[in-house]
Amino acid sequence: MSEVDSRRSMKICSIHGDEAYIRRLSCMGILCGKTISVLRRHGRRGAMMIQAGDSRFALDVGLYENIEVEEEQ
Amino acid sequence: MTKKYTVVLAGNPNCGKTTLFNALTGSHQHIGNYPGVTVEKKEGSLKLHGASIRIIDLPGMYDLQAHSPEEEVARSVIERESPDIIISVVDSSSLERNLFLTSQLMEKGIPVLVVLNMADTAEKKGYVIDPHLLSEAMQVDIVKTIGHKNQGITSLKEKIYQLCHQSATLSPPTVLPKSLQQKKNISTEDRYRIIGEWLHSAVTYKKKPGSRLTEKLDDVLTHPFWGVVIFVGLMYVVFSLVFIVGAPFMEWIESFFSWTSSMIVQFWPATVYPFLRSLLIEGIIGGVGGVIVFLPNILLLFLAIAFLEGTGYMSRVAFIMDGFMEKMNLHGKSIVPMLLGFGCSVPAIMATRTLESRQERMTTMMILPLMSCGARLTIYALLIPAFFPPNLHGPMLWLMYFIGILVAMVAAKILRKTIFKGDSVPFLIELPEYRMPTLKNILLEMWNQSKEYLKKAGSIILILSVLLWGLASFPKIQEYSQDYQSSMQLLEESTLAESQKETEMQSLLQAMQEEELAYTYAGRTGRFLEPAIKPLGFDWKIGTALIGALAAKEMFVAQLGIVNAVRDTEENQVPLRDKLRDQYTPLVAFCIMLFCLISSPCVATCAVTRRESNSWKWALIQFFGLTVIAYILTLVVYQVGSLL
Repeated sequence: MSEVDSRRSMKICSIHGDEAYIRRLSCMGILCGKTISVLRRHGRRGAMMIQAGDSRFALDVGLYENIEVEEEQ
Repeated sequence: MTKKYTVVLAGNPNCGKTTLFNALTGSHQHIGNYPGVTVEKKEGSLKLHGASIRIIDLPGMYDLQAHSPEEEVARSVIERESPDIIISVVDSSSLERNLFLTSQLMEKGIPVLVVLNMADTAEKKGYVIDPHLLSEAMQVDIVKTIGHKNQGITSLKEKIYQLCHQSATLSPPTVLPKSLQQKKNISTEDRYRIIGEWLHSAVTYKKKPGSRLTEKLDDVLTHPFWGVVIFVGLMYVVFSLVFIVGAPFMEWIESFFSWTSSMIVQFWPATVYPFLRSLLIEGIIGGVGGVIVFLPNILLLFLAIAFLEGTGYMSRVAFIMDGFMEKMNLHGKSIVPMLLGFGCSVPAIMATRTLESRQERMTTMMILPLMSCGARLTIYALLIPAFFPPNLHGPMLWLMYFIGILVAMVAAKILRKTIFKGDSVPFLIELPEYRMPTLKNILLEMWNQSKEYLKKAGSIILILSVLLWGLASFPKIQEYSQDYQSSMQLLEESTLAESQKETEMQSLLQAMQEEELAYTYAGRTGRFLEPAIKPLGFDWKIGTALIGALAAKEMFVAQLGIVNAVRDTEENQVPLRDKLRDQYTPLVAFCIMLFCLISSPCVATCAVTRRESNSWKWALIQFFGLTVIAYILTLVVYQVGSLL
């Protein structure tokens, strides 16, 4: 997800890394198969604001670089 | 006999749980802590149809199976309290995510009541929820509420009573469909699939055109440049509000205590129980007054913070400041306690509970006293006008705040690379919808926080004020170096001009008081400390005042007044300043401010650090560590400054 620009909607195809964070993201509604929109990013490796479902979240590079996304079909 | 029930309120953060808790419990709530845990829960009671219902509000959480402090508390409360029912509060505008936790609560073997809160927000977003269909699908009771408008509260109370009354005969809910009942652990995907099935028939979505306030505000408030500018501007407004608006209220409180003291002086003769009289005026009124004087600042600060938190802005601050905090090897969320630290370190240290990583939490806790608190402002307000020209007053004050932040940044970096090293916890925070908080909720939040400040800090400060008064009053001198009484009498009978007579009388009185003080335990300690603090440019009087500052930083001013033998310090600020100017240089004044800024935090802060870290070790490290840093920096500044 590091390469996704602002104002783009993408579908999550996989999340890797620490199990606890995968679980944390999942229970917040950020999981495989979900569509998310990147609303704002502060630089290439800065924090990112995303929309997942009806909720908005801020997350940093430590999390979003572990999220793989693909174009929505 | 009154029937007693226990009910637990659980839900995601920002689902309006606290609003419901306040609506249910009214003014009966109190804040309690579980021993050994680090996150607060709230407790209140509800009397209904002759039954007493104890309501426990759990911290906001997303998941029952994770191991953050919030989830630990939630699990512990549910297991230890064995509630009669669990109320799962959900944000109706974000049902799928909120019902994830509900599904976990439904597996606890306890009857669950689902509250569809924020029904108005869901409608605005275009959701139409049929609570009856949802109740049928989930096999649980459901109540619809709009907490902040007090809608649905009566139905909720009735439903709580009804379920409590029937709890012994109710069978716990079942989440799992038959196909999954053989599974030991239900997967996240399966859980979301079940939730999807619940919502399928009960919720319809019709996209509504129109303005989306949250989107529009976020476009501006989270902008990489303008977001920071707006944040800095807002903080300026908050500090101005705290110090400018608070000033007249502080003066009223000061006047009240002065008036009380003067009344006691007037009606209580000095010869009748002089010990008790002095204890009451100087120890108790002086000590308690010293704390209560700052109550307007504290109330205003918490009012502003409660408003900003209520609107949903604070989460955005964590987002826009994440990059800056990362440079300090700290978490984006650390910014909130650090901002609170400018008001008072006690609630600021409590606010570090939101940090998930112990390393980051401990680092934030250790550096928080470096944020120049309101009490330190009294020291700056005394010394800056006394030693620096008016055009430097503002810059000097800003310099003190800046030095605090700079030292905190360096200290945080060092701590994160040594004692508290370890990877940063990834930054993940929900950015809730912007809302206009209700006045009632803001005032309640402000009062709860301020009450805590008064209760925790006030009690410690009161006890130590009395102790310090004792140290500065005993033992009483038996033999003076000269016969002051005879000298005063001779002066009184002399033919000198009245003004000269008064000046000399004042000098004699001050010399006598200095001698009295030097004989007390505080005076002796000051003299004992003198060789150690002399390289910093400090004399024994400053040393004695520094002991006073251990109880509370603002006591430095009062104690400095006593040791300089100036009575009624607050009424005669100018003479104290003049006296200080005669004795010390601007360099010494700067060194005093620097030392007071960095050195050991007040006793209340140390006590809260001990409680929050669960260890005296960290409170002592904070106490002595900061004092050593303050000593070294002040030594360097004084010695280098003396050479210039």
